[in-house]
Amino acid sequence: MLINAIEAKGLVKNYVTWDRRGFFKRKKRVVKALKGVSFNVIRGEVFGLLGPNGAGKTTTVKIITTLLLPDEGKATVMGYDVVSEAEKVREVIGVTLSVEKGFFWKLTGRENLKYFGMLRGLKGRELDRRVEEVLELVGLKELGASDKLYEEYSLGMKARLALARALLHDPPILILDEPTIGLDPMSARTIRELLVKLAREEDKTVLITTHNMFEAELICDHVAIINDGRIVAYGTIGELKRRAADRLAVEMIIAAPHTILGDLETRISKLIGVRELGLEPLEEGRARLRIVVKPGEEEVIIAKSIEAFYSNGIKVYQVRVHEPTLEDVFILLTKGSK
Amino acid sequence: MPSTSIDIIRASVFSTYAWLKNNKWLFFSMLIWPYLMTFLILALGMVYGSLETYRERLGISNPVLYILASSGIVMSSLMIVDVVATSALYHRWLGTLPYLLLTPTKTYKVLILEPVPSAILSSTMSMLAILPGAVFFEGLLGAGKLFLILLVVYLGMLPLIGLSVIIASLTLVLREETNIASFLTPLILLLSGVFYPIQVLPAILQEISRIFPTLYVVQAAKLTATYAIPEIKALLGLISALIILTLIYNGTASLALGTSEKMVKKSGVI
Amino acid sequence: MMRNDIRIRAIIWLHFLRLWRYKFSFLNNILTTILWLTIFVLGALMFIPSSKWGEMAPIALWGIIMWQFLASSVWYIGGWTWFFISQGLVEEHLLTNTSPVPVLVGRAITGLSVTLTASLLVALVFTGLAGASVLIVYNPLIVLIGLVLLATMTISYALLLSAASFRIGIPGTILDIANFISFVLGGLAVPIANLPEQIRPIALAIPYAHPAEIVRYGVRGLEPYLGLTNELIISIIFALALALSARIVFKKTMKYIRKHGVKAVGRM
Ligand SMILES: Nc1ncnc2c1ncn2[C@@H]1O[C@H](COP(=O)(O)OP(=O)(O)O)[C@@H](O)[C@H]1O
Ligand SMILES: [Mg+2]
Repeated sequence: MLINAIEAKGLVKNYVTWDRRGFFKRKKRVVKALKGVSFNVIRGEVFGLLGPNGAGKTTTVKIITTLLLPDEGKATVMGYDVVSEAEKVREVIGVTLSVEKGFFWKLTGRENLKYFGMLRGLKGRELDRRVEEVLELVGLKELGASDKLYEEYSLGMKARLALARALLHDPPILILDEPTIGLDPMSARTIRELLVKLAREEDKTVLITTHNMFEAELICDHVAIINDGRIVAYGTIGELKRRAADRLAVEMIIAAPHTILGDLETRISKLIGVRELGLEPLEEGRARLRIVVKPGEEEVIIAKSIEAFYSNGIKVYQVRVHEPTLEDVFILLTKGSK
Repeated sequence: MPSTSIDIIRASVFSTYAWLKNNKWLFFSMLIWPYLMTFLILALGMVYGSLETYRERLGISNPVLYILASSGIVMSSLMIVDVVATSALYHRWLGTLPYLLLTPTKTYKVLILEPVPSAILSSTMSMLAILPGAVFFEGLLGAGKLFLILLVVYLGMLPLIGLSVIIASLTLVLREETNIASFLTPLILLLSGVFYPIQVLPAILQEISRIFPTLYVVQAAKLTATYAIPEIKALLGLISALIILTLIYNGTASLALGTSEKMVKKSGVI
Repeated sequence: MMRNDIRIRAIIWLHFLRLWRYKFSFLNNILTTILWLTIFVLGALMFIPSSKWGEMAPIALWGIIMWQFLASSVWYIGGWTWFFISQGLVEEHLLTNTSPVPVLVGRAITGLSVTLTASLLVALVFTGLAGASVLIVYNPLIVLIGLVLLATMTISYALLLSAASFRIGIPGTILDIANFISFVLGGLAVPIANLPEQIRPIALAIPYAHPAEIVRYGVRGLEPYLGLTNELIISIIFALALALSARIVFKKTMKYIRKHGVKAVGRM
């Protein structure tokens, strides 16, 4: 029996685009979206592909789901090659590509599911049974949304419907591109809990992409961090955190009105001379600044920052030093290269 | 500070310009459509019958120029109704309707003034498009006549804008995604007798057609295409009819819009 | 095979359901079509002496019906592709191992519904104008054959446009111009024999001219320009050639998008 549900080896993908320059001029440009991506997803686990916007997550998902051909490299799903055995791959995967489109507007959720179920060869009572099951599973029934038109759905409902469609033919593997992006906490939680349940109780393999570290820490068994078309780290959450064990996180709450948030990050990194930092806006015009440092450096950095902030009129409310979280690891690994 | 009409128009001129810049094809279409229509009618007519028959039946001296002018009128009416009636819908699609309604002035003013520049531009364009045709047939006199028609078209636009705002209010209330009233433009044009004498229509339709401004615009075009120098008296009659219609339509429109604005705000379908 | 049956059922069901849900647009489209047609027809009728209206009306009417076949294929299939692509529906269908082609062809259901209803109503207007029923035809079977051949051609043409819109934006005006040209020069509006001598070779080269000749034979018993048998053979060859090229081009397009990704390029 196969151990790995999904295997990707050395995936390379270049997009060719044309920049518009003036009236008729166009200039060819090659975007190197993937520069050799390899990873394995073990059967029955929840695997997270983490990365910032534009890192190549969607491109990877599209290749694994047979929608895009790799320029180089090879990928298999349940042993089927995604290029030469695309049809077989499509039978064993359930996919959500987007939480906000991919359905017919003037059909209800139930009708949309019925349509896509029929395309998958389901029919009659079996079709009806599956449709009801998945509507129940993703909580659309509970929300009373099964018979609402898709165009009237909230984003949370749309995301649930997308997941329902992925589950319709009961595939052993789920591949979900940012399944909780933009959702309210309740919907996001329902979806996350469902994914974990499917992996634990029904032995499904789940691959999700996300840039939400909190989410990854909650549900993923293994994660790979992708940045700028390359996998820069792989392991369990614990392993990744340990990779940064020789690091400390300095966290400061500072005054940062939304008006100046735009270029604050680069300004601060110049001010205190560190590159690996993350800035997250909070309410009431404050922001949380995280800097990953080597043990022993923290005092110097804190002193430097406070001085820099003071002379620039930026208030500091709180300073804290702690063990790194996954987010700090993420910042460490993804900021460095850019 | 309340926005003045000038502010609204200036903003709208800018967005029209930006829009045209990014839709060069649309610009081209405006120029080409009157000729396409003329080509279609002439080609069909001439393989089925003869230009002579057409000239006699309509009692005009220059049928080709008349068809061209009518096509120009058809296009500009189409654009005005389309631009005004769909601009509210368009803003709803884009999600800019709430901001439009937040402009510190009367909504009626915004909805009417906002599409005016693109409406004027497009009707001028359609008429300008046929200028080469007019000059070709009648030289400078043709250009002069065209200018006269253009003035009447502008005048005819005023009641047409009011009518379009009424349509826009309806579509807003009905919460339709597309302009489900798009059949109204060809209906109005059909009743105005664009390419044929109004007398071929049943009597009842001829009566109804009196309430539509395009009827008078088309008649003015016919007058200028019939005589070397059109009769001033007949023209003045048409112009006063247009002025009366302007008052009636725009009065009704402001009422209709007030009502629909209330309904829209109540049902929250903005 | 079984699975394909279910798929086709699904697609037909989808398009009828959507037709029903968009009923106001549907009615509006029919009404708009009829009104525009009437405007142009009234204009064209002014060129014909009243005594000949009875004779010309059926030819004009059927010309318009055939033109609607073309225009509605282009708009309902070709024009819809942009929506289909931009909503991510291409990928969603591929994931179920369903090609987008049958879904796009299914749009012909919507297009034909509009065309047939509008044609029927325009026929009523004509009957009123010309004083005699214009829908009585000489040989219904031949008319049907002609229309099926014509529909095959126009749907294939629309699919070619669809395929193109995966890669380039096609301005709507160009398509309208092409439709007009086919209407007048392509022998849809008038028998080829009535066209000026110099234009006839152009008409003969436009595929639609041939089924149009067949339809006119079925309607009025007008001898087709190249004879019925020849026109049938030529029409079938043209129809097959167009369908085949649509198939090949679509296959190529699907390969292209798998290589370069699906992007909504230009809207018609
Ligand atoms: N169809 C495309 N054509 C050109 N460039 C693309 C296309 N799709 C994605 N890209 C580019 O490839 C890179 C990776 O994109 P993507 O895989 O969507 O990243 P992610 O999903 O991680 O945000 C980005 O720089 C993006 O702009
Ligand atoms: Mg993405």
